[in-house]
Amino acid sequence: MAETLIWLIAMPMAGAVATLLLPRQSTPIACVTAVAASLVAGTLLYAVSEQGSLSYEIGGWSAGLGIALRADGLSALLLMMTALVMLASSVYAGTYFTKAAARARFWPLWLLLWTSLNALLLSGDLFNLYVTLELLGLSAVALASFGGKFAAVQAALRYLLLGLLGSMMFLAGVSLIYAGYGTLDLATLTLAVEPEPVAWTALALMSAGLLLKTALFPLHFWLPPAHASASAPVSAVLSALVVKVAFYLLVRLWMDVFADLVTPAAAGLLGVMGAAAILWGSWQALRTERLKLLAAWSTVAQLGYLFLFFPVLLALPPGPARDTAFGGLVILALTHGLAKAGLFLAIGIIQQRSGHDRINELNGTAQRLPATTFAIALAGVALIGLPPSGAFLGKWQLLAGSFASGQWLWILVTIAGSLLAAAYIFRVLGHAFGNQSYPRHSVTIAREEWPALILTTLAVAGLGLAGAPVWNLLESGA
Amino acid sequence: MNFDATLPLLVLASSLLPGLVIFFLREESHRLRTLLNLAGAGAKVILVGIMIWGVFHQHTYLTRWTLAPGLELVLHADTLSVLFVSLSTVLWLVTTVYAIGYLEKSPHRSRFFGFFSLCVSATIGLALAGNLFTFVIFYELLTLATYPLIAHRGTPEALRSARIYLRYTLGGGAVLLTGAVWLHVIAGPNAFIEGGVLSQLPDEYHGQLKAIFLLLMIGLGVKAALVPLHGWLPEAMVAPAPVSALLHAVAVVKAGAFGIVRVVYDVYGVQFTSELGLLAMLGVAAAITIVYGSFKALSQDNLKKRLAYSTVSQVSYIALGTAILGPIGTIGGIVHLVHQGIMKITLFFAAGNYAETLGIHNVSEMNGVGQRMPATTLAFSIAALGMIGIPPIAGFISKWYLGLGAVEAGMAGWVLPVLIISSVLNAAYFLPVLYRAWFCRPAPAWPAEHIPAARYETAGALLWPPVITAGLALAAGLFAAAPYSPLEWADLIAQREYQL
Amino acid sequence: MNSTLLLSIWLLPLLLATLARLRHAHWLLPLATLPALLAVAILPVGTTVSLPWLLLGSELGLDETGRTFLGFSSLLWLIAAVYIAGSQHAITESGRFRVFFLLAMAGNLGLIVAQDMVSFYFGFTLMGLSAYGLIAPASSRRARRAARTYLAWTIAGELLLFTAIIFLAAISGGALTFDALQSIPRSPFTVLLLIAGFGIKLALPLLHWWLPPTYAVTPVAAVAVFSGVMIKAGLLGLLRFLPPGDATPPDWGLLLVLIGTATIFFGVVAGLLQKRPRLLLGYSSISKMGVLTSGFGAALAFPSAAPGIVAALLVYASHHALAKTALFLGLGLIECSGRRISLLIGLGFLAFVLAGAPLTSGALAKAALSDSLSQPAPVLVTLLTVSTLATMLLMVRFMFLLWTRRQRRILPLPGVPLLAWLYLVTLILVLPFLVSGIDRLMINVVPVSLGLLLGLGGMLVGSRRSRANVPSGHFDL
Repeated sequence: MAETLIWLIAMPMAGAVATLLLPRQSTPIACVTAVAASLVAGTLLYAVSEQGSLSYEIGGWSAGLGIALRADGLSALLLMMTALVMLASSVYAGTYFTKAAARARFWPLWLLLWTSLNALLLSGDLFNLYVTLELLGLSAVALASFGGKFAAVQAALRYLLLGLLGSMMFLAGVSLIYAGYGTLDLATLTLAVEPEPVAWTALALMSAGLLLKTALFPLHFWLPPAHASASAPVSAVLSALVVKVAFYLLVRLWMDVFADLVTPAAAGLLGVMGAAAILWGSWQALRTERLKLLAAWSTVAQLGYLFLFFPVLLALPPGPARDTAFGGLVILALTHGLAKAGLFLAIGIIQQRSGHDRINELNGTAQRLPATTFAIALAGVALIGLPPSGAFLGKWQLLAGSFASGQWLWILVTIAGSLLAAAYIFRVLGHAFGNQSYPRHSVTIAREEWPALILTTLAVAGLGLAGAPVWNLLESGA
Repeated sequence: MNFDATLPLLVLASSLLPGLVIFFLREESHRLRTLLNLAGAGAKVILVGIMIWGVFHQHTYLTRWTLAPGLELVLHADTLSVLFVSLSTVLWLVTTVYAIGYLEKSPHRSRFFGFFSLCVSATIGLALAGNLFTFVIFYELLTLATYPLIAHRGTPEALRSARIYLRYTLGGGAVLLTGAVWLHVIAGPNAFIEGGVLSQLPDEYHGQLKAIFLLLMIGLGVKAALVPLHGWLPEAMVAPAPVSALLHAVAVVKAGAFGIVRVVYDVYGVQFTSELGLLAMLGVAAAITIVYGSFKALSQDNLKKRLAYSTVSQVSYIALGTAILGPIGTIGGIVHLVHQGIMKITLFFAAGNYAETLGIHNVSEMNGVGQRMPATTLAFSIAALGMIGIPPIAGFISKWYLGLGAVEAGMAGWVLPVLIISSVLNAAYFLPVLYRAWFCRPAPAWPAEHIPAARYETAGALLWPPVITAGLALAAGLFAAAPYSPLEWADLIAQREYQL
Repeated sequence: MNSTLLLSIWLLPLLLATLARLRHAHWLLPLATLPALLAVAILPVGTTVSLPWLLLGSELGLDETGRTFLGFSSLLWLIAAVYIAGSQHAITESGRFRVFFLLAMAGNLGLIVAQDMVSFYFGFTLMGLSAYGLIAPASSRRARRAARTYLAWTIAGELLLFTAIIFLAAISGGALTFDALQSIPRSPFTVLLLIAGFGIKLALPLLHWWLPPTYAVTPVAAVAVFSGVMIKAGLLGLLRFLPPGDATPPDWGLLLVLIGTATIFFGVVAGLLQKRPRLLLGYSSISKMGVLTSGFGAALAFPSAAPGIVAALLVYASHHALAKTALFLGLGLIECSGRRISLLIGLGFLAFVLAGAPLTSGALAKAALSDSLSQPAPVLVTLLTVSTLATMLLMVRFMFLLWTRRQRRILPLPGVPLLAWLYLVTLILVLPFLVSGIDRLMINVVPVSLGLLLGLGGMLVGSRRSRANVPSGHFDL
């Protein structure tokens, strides 16, 4: 079963090479790759739930020398989310880019991005993590500029520079660790690390780099223009996955490897930044004129919720209570990933149909595309955190944890953020009820509308009603 | 899975599945949509019939589904939930028929009926909810499913009302959620158990429990339209008549009132609530709402708005009954849950008929409408007189038990005056309407006659629903003491609640 | 069989009400009284029927009191119904009027056979609210205002009654039948509520404001049932809810006697000031209700004498019902077809009857009441005699008003209403002789003649002055 780990990296990589070599057949190749890679991700998820965490050493060399791949419950879940989002976006991208030439240039980058995502999630040592992070950043920048508009290129350039800055800080932290402890393997580090200045400095540097990449307030400023100006499938992946894996790394470092170093004050600082992100991001989303910017600002806000978990988790006693709350964090991240990807895909359809994404002029378009509007509504449910979405379960845990640890501020922020989210979502949905005539069919552009609808439905009904396995998986794969 | 464990799920699914399918139906597949709607409603009636029988004979219908550690989706049929489920089921069937007639040839029917079914499903789920967590889920779902129905017409006015509705209900939902989570943290999964469980908590929690109760009541009070949280209800009257009927009689307002009943009886326990001094607070809020709503209704010329304020007032009878300690007050409050539903839905059906048939929206245009539409006006009259509390219509039974319960609980000093004032005000805003309809000479032309008088005074699908519900309102009062009447069922609930 | 009959007393008028809007439904009205008449004729006293599924568990039955009430009520509803069916009055012709007439009838007859509080209240409310439709509020602005006043007072009365019933039910632990409530002590507050509630129906002073405007505008056949029959529901209510005995403290009886006395003289004085015959008759009814109220008060105050007093009250109530209905119907004949000597003779006879002249049912009623009161409260007998004199005065004034009524034109008398009226007058003429010996009827000679003389004297003085002041002879208020 452990071979699935290598397949998860090899497959998209092989797909990337194949699409590069055979540009004419690139779209079918990419789609087949996507399906296959998703199946492998599913298999891995099943394997982890059955056998617990898996590891694989490439070439049989042990850790420290060779490249070790690891998958526990958390990474298996994120891999699965990655696969679902990438698969849906791939199907979508197949018709979204109407020109064959554009598609041929698109697929290799796309599959490379997938490769780096999977590799990052599977990496078990800091150096590989740095490499995959860098690779991810570069392919993401290339994709963000894809489409060629001046604004997109400008935003991508800024994205590139800040991404590089983040990577450098991360690398600096990694170097310090290597200097201090002589190992980069996470499992070994976990045992070796001591609360001392080297570790603190290293953690601070790495965290700063990662916070820049996850765009936590006040380091969020690059995100809205970059995500809003990219093409729809790219925005989906950037918002749903790319920022999410950086966050994943932070969680790994703070909760696992450097868990002993984390002080309540530090976690509290992250919480405060998260709270500010929620309020500021939601407020900006409410004020913006454009749909894609709204979605991008919403990402800023949603990431804030994830950071609120840090102080809450730290305050809870280790054991079932903390594990349950941690599950809430994971399910919130997963829900946001699926829902935000679906939202961007849906917005892409609207933008293509009407030629713009100005919220106040949506009337006709929203009604001509009922399935897409419905997808936006479902995504909205998940973003607000209403039942039955997975985000509801996540927020419930967040609130419960805050109550249990007496941290009243987070409760107020969570509630206020949810209400603001409702305000910006329903500002959009209000436009679905004009008096324009209704199309004959609910679904008009199947290959673009279904992916959005399926992703958002998974976020709402899938994770919300069948979310219990997430906790089991985190437990069995710990 | 055996039948007893699936029945609650089936009851839920009988409206949920048709609703989901209807979303994807083409706009013009009128017949299939009608078939699905009626088949779902019919199936639900049968399933609920089985459920009533079973619960009466002490069967346990329980569906469980774990969503997260410690968070279970529980659907459970007890006496109280069955009462609400039966009400929603019967009125849904009638309202569906009415809506099919009402929306004939208007656009976006697939969307409308889809959300219509979702709305009812959410109500059913809320009725069957076996713990506070499940209740919160369906409570929020109800908000979501209702928004598109209020916004349905798409006019700026409708959108504005829908926004106001959302602002109130989502705000209320957030407060409710906060309270529910807090309670969950203190007391674990709050299964609804007759008599409540919180009284076993040590004394140092009492302060927190009071705060939580306040949060829960604010959250529920928004939907139950307790003053000053009622602002959305009169605005929401721009919605199509079947939606108003649903909002006021079956789903939203009722959900809030039902939640209050649940929290007081099955989470806190009425005795414990009273010991905490919270019952009196609830009673005062209800009393203020009753009187205020009636006062506001007096000055409304728009018929639906007058009915809306009347709802504000009438629904609080349920909260008032809850605030009266003792089985008789309990019966009064719970039975009014049903009675108010039947009567108010009749009123809204009739108001819809006036608007749809003759273009009448205001009370001042109703002169002589009784001659043109006698059956509708008769139904309206029965329901209006029932609201005032005239025997033998259902509303009288409610008032009787509320009054009697208040005297027995030693609360007559303020409950009876409230009941009397409200009856007087009800008479003052309903009787002039009846006077105009029956005694005044009609104006030379109706505002806008859409449906000419043919075999019936209006379309059949519009006429029968109010006539049937008016008949139910009459029967519920006239045969109140008969077996399986709402009153008898409320009596059973009170017995189990007080372990008599 | 018995239960069907008792139930159909309510049910038939209600069912017929659904048909009453049909075009030629006039004759449904008399038909609706048949079960009640039949019940009076064949049902043995003491018949009861339990209907546990109806309302909150109902009991219907026919006791002695109920039988008397049902007897005169059904008879008078029948006569009024025939009168209406045969007349060509624009308002009573309408289907709407018929519906309300039948509903009010159902309520009135129903409350008589009701043996529990809730059924009684149902009947009482049905009657009170349906009577609103009899006032014909749409016919004029004045009628509308009168009807609104009536409705406001009626609803107020019903709410007072409702509150009282709630308190009674709470004290009795949920028992609702009058039987079960017989010996349960009433709290002072409850008694007050009941007196006020039924006082509105009886139009006791200060609670009577609805009566004059209503009587002024309502079609006369409807006024006849208003003041003959429906007003008596107040007395029945008192008898049912405040049974003389342990349950009600005797002090309340004294209060009622005082209230009744005040009512007697208030009615007479206010009646004498009226210039419209209808209103005068209305105030006379108030005065007579004063007699009944003080009689009832005496029964409460002297529980040992109560059975006799109550029996006498029943006689008195029946007498007043018949006589007052006949007076109004006769007045109606004059109003619709003009003043004729023949009609005036009939009305004059009825005026004597009402005053209690010898050899009439009035004398019989007075005798019965005096007999029952002479033992416990001789002062009340004196009071009765004074009231007889006062009534006679009032009746002289009534005849004078009719005599000087401005004559518009003579129309042919409507046949069926005339026959109905004549039948009633004959009945009133004959009935006392069937029930009692002549010697018992030879009373009241002095007060009646005194009243007559006084009245005639006053009339002479008054007419001279009025001839000077009111040239046209227009007597509208």
